[in-house]
Amino acid sequence: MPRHDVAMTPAEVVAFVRDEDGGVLAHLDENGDPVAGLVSSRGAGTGLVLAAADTRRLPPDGTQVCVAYEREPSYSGVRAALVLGVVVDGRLEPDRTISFDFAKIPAPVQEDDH
Amino acid sequence: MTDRAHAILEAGTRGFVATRTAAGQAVVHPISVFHREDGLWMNTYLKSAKARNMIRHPAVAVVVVESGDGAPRPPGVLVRGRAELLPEDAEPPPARVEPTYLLPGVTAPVPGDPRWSLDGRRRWFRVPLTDVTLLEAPDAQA
Repeated sequence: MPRHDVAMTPAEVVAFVRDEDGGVLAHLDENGDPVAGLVSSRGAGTGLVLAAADTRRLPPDGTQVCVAYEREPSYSGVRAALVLGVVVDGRLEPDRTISFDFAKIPAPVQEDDH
Repeated sequence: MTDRAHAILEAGTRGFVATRTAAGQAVVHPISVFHREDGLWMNTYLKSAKARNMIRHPAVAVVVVESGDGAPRPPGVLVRGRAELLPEDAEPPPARVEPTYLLPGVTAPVPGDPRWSLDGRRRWFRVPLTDVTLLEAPDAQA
């Protein structure tokens, strides 16, 4: 089965993340194991301003984190951007992004289409 | 586990699993989760990044929220533990309570449904419910 490129374009990622007001933040704890929590988020310049949305605090400055932004109107409509970067003064300075948009998977070809 | 956390786990299947990459970074992926008495069950392609991460470093953190509407927000539940890769023929036991929220296009697992196996290309992981934290908005505790 062919694999399809479901990644968003850089412009799509920027627009998608800018429109999201919350996500799930993950980082590694002192033992090197993952921990996660809910954050609010808003785009500002090239970075993202984060605030803890639950009672856990943001990790300290310099911590490598990943924030997952996701919309799931349906399985075939799932869109997500995973933004990896560093926390600096409550901002996420992105290093790289992983994204997918299931709407980019071509619909199955019907026999009638041939 | 508090009653509130238990209720959120039973109602919601919208999850996010945080894993450790080979490069030693945290990464978090969306995933559907299914609450059972013996843990949270998650199904994914064995070749996926999250599956490879869980096999290499089983310690995970899973955030579950109640609803699929909009961005994930409190209340939610954080489950930390070791993800166990289950045998190819493993299937989740019946749910005590059917979830309130299911991603449209996804059905709750039923025994023998080949969509959850795809000839062994997909597998189940299970995380025990021994370290569970309720994630509430700060003002919810006022």
